This record gives sequence, C-alpha cells and structure tokens, in this order.
Amino acid sequence: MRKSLTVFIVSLLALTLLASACGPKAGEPNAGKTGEKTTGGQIVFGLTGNPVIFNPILATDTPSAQINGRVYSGLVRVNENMELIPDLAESWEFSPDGLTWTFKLRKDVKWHDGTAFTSADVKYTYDAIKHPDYTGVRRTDFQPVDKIEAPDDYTVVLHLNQPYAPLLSKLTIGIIPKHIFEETPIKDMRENPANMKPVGTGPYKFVEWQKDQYILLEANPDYYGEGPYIQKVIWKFYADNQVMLAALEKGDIDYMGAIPPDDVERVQQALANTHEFVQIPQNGYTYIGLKQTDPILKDKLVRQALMYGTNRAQIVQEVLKGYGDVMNANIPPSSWAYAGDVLNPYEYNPEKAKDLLDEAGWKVGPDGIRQKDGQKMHIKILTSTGNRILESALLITQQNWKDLGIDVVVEYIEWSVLCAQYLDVAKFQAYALGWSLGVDPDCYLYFHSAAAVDENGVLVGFNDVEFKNPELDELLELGRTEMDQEKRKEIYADIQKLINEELPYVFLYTNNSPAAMHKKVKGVVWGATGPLYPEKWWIEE
Amino acid sequence: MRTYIIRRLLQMIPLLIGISIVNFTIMHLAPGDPVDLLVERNATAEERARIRELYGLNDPIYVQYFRWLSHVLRGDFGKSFVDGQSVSKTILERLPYTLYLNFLIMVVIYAVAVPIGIISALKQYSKFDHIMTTLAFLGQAVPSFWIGLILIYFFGLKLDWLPISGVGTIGLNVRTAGFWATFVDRAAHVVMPVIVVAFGSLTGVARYMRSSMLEVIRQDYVRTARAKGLPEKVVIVKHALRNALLPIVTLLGNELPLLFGGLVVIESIFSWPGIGLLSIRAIFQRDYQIVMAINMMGATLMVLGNFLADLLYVVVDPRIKYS
Repeated sequence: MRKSLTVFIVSLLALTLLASACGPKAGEPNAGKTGEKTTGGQIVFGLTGNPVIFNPILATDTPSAQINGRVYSGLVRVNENMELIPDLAESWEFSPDGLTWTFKLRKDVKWHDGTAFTSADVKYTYDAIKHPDYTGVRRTDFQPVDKIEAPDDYTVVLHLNQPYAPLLSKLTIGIIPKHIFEETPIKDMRENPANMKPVGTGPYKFVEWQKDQYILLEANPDYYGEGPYIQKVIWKFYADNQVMLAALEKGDIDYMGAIPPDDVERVQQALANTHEFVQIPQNGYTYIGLKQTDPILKDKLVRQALMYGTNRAQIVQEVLKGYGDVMNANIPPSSWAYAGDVLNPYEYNPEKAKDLLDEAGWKVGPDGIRQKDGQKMHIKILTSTGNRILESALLITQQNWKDLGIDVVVEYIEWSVLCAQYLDVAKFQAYALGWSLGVDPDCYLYFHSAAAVDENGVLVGFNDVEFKNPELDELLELGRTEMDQEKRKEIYADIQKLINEELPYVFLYTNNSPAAMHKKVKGVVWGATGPLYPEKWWIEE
Repeated sequence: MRTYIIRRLLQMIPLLIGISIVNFTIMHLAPGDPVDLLVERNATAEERARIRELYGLNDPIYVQYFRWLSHVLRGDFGKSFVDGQSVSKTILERLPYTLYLNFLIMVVIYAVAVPIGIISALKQYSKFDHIMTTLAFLGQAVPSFWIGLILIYFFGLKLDWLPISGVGTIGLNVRTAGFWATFVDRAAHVVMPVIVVAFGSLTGVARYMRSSMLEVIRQDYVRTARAKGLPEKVVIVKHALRNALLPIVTLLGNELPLLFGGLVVIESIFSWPGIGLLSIRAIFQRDYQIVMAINMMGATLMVLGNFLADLLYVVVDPRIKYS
C-alpha cells in the first residue's frame, strides 16, 4: 500500500491524458501555444456575498474559501480531476496498515511575513482543530487522527486510530502560522486580528479589504511554486446578481461564476468577442429526500415509481437550460468515483411508474388519487424558500407525480425554520434540497445507518431519511478504510449501484454553473469545480 | 424646563431597557441560531451542540440577556459570533458611509422639496402643481430597486456615464490622483444612489411644505402685510415662508434617526458598504450581538429625536411650555 510520489505523478499524468482524450466538459486550458507567460497586470473577480473570516480552519462560506485558497496553502491540493496532488507536502507515505501517514514538507516555503514555514505550523493547525475549545466545524474531519507529530522541521507524522482514506482530501485545508496564533487561546482564535489581515504561504499576499466593496491581493514574490504571474487580484462584491452581471458587461469585472441560466444566452452573445464562457460542474446535486420509515415511501417499488415518474430530463432542459445533468445516484460526474454508466438511468416512463405503483398495491381510487387499505397516497415535500431553480424543478415534479395519481403538496419554508423544525430533528415525509460535497467520494455520513437517528432521537450524521441497509453499511466502511484509489473506485461503483437500486432519495440533477472569464486571462485550467492554479495564469492584453 | 428635561432623560432609561428586552426576546424567538446558519449543512448535530456550548447559547435566555446587558452597561457591545470582530468597531467602520450617503440624500430632498412645495402652494391647482404632484406620487409608487436598476442600465451600461457600484474607484484617492479627480470620482459614484432615494422620498416633504405654506398664506397677518402694500416678494419670503418653514424644522428633528439608518435595498443594488447591508446580513446570520447593537442604536436615536423635536416645538412656538 505504499504510494510514492513518482508513482502518483505518473498515474496522475496518465489520468490527465485519459481525461483530455475524452474531452473534459470543463474545457481545455485556454493557453495560447505561442504566448510567452508575462508578469504583471491584474484580474478582477465578481462575487456575491461577503467573505467572513480569512482563517481556513474557521471559515465555512464560499467567498472566504476563495480568498483563503489564494492566501494559504495546504499539504495537498486538488487537481482538475478532483485528485490530490502535492502542495506544501512534497511527498507522503502510508504505512502498510494505513495507520501512520508520513509527510515530507517543502523546505523552501516562507510565510508572507518572512518567517520560515515548518512542520510546527502543520502540527499547530491540526492540533487546533482537534482542541476541545475549537469553535470551527472541521473536527469531524480529523476525528480519526489520534496524534500529530513533527519529528523534524520538515516531517509531519499523523497517527490514525483507524485507516481512513478520506482524510487525505481534508488535508487540503490551509495551514495557519503558529507564530501568529500561538499566543491566542484556541477558544478566542476567531477574535485574533490576523483573521482580518491574513498571513499565509500561498501565491498571493493580502493587501486590503474594504468590507462590502473589494479585496485586494498582490503577488507573493517568494512563492515556492511556479508563478504567480498576475500581480494584482481583486474581488469586487455585489449584493445583487443582476448588478454583478451589469458589471461584467460594463467591463468592471473579468470573471463571474454562476451566471443565472436565464441570462446566459444574452450575455454570451453580447460578450462573445471578449469573454470565454465555460460550464463549471457543481460538486453536488439536488434531490428529494424520502423518509424511509414513512408508510408510503418505505416501499422500494414506490420509490422506483417516483424516479420513473419524474421527468428529470425535462427539468435539466427547461429549468437548467441544459446546463446540468440528470443524477441517478449520489456521486456527480465531476468526481473520479462517478459510475454513471453502470446505473439504471430511470428514463422518464410514466406508464412503468403507474405499473409499479399498481404492483405495490396503490390503486387509483374514484377521485383519481391512488389508495391502499383506505389510505390515500399523499406526499408532502418540504423545501426552502428562495431557490428559483429548485422551485421550478419542483413544479414539474409536482405535475408529474399528480399525473401518477399521487396527491402531492410542496411546502416552502424559510431556511432556518426548515433546519430547526424538520431536518435537524429528522421529522418530515419528503424534502427537496441540495448537497454540496467534499473532494472525497466518501458518503458514510449521508447513508450509513450509524449516521441516522440514535436511540435518543438525535440525528447523528446527515442520514435524515434514515436509510438503513447492512450491505451498504459494509461498503461504506470499506470505502473509508481502503487506501488504493482503483479499489476505492470499484467500491464506490457498488455503492452507487446499490443506492441507485434502493433509492433513499429521488435524485434530480446536478447543475453546471455557467461562468465567464475575460479572454485576456491566459493559462486557465478549468477544473471540476472552477478555474484552477491561479498562480500560473497570465494576462495578455 | 430644567426639571422637564431631566425627567424626560430619566424616563428614557426604563424605556430603552424595555425596548432591549423586547428586541432580545423577539430575536431569540426566531428559529435557528448563529451556529446553525454559520455551518449550514456542513456539521453534525453533535458538533453544533459543542460549539453552541462554547458560545453560551445553551444558557436560558434571561441568563444570556443579563450577560449582554452587563457588558453593554460597561460599554462593550460584544464580539460578532460570525467573524469574531468587535461589534462597535464593525458598526463604526460602516457608519461614515451611511452618514455620508444619507446626509447627501437629506440635503437633496430638502433642497428640492421645499421650493417645489412653496411653488405648488403659491400656484395651487396650476399646471406646475399638478405635474409636481403626479411626479411626487410616481416617485413614491415606483419601487426604488426598479428605478435603481433602470438607472444602472441606462447611465451605467448604455451611456457609460456613471460607475454602477461602490463608493469609489479602487486605488484612486487624493494621494494618487489629486483632490479634484478624487472628488469627481466619489461624486460620480454617489449620484445614482442619491437620486434614487431622493426621488422616492421627496413626496412627503414637498406635500408637507405645500400644505404648511397654504395654511400660512391664508393667515390674517399675511393679509395685513399685503394690505400694508408690501411687495408680494417681501410678503412671501419674510412673512409667510418663515412661519411655514417651522413645522419642516421639527420634521428634521424626527428624521435624525433616519440619518443613521441603513438603506437595505439601495445598498444592495449599488454595493454601498453601509449599515443596511450589515444589519440585513446580521439578521440572516442570527448574529445576535450586531443585531442588538444596531437595534439599540436605532431605538436610542429615535427616543432622542422625539425628545429633540419636542424641545424644538418650544423654540418654534412660544405658546407651548413644558414644566
């Protein structure tokens, strides 16, 4: 089970070649082959929302994560296929039992304030996350780690209490400087002023933040890797998506992600000469969770009927304007573990759905609504207010299900109420929402029976539909302990097949988010979840 | 008079405490708490419970209230749950932007509305009066976000005359570009927000001015002035206008809190970093400390503003006396 860096890189290259041969959806790097990489220039990103805190172990929001990703580095980073490649760590080794992970660190790394980066910083960061007073949410990620050791300045050893493959993907988390935080008690870490003026090891240095206006970063001349070429990176903040779109058209910003599907066509025409348009797949999916203990939904035939009876292709075409894919299980196409081609596609087939419902004993009653043992087939779907795409998707779903003879109601509830009164206490019949996923395909917390509701009625993980299947439990445990990616791929294919058959959810779609990048920015690599390696981009006016 | 002032000031204390209790209770009655909204669906129930315990959010609400009150009485509004920053610092960072914008809006409103009101009154039922009345009501009726987006579309995109968001060009300041360039830049950024808000709020003041003026020019002393053979200009400016302006002055006292209040919609559309954006975000994130601080600021200003208006009445109208 040894994995040396060379083997890793070779397999990585092979995969990259393979991927490019298949033509990745996200597109190729837009590097001009003749272009010399030039140093200088600036790039302006548009962002809705305001970052919260520039501390990777405390931040939970996307805007903060974007900035933190430029300012801080982790031991490993994600490549365009969502695989992990070296960053601060030069190489790593797993012991044969998978319980001891040894990382060799780069020796040429400096913090932005000039201090040398060492293994003590890594130990400090991980210890802080494991500290009982830590107020962030990354503790579950590091649960399997018993002890972190730093035998010398450039070696870090993690001791695990069980083999746990997903941990490697958690080590993408940015390392924070010990010399700046060590005086602050862990409980008060959030209040340390360095969170507002971060010092990292990444390609860009923090310069200034005017709240709700902009953030300015500048190139870090001492960066250990290639680049950075672009000298200034600016994020401008907009509270309103339409205004951000206007800013893109006006030329105030060079990049905008998540362009609303309704506007894409118009903007694409208007900016055809200046901007490149890309579809970025979302590492997540939207679904209708079905309570597995519900008298109607506990029957597998009914759940399959709902899948056959939902016109998901129409949802992707009409609601997402084609910017998305139908989901048939729980791993989106952007992941290396995706096994879409071996799954039942459940193509829209209302006749088959009706047959399955008949078979399950739900016969159409005199009022057109199916019933069984005097009970009417009534399904109530809860969802959160404010997501227009999901609302439109549910309108189609509702009509589809009505056509099957199901009395279906969709109830819109404010987010915090939905969480507090329904989801957190796992009390609902069905609900429609989305998951955004981590880098690793591990889905233990979503579908393992131990992640459902405990004997006191408390939801342990995210398995709020209370899906319990011993075979799946075993596979999920195996997927976590197996360290070899090829073997894991097989395990996760089996997991997807099982979930595709048993259906804890009605899987709806994963939406690609249309993004626009100014053509003057060269060398952009479009990864599974957005533009990658910003330090290697350059500007060609 | 002195006892009156002291009595009024003392009455404010229980009033403000009452307001704070109501505010605190309502906020905590809202479902969800900062931890829920901070982590969204990324943390397990167990982990959230642990963080809640660290923040003292598991304590009974009255314990939390007294903890808050005892800090506030010592001048400490606490730290944000979300970013750990001092609440007073966060608010003070944004207050200048809000004051700047609101002050300009106020100036524009009064500078435009008062003359409109006067002319409308003097030429009652004239074409001008009708046009102004229609325009004013239009301003009131059309939603400001719509006007804002239309202005952005025409003046920002199509004509490309004005910047569409923010308070200034990044990196452009007196040091780098000189005074005039900076002045023009800042003015260009503030034009659209000011126009949008002022257009929507002119009505009130203009109508107020109009009716006040109408009332005054029917007074006996105006007739006397005219009978004395004073020129019409002197009658209007010296005799009528001064008296008609009095209620407008007291209106200003009442609008003091508005000067500090955020304008959520306008701040969202024009990306203006004021109190409005801060408070709406704090409410959505259940960032209790910030919400409480902003609410209490508003309440205090409202109470003070009312008090000030009452005092202004005495100055303005000698018939009123407090004892």
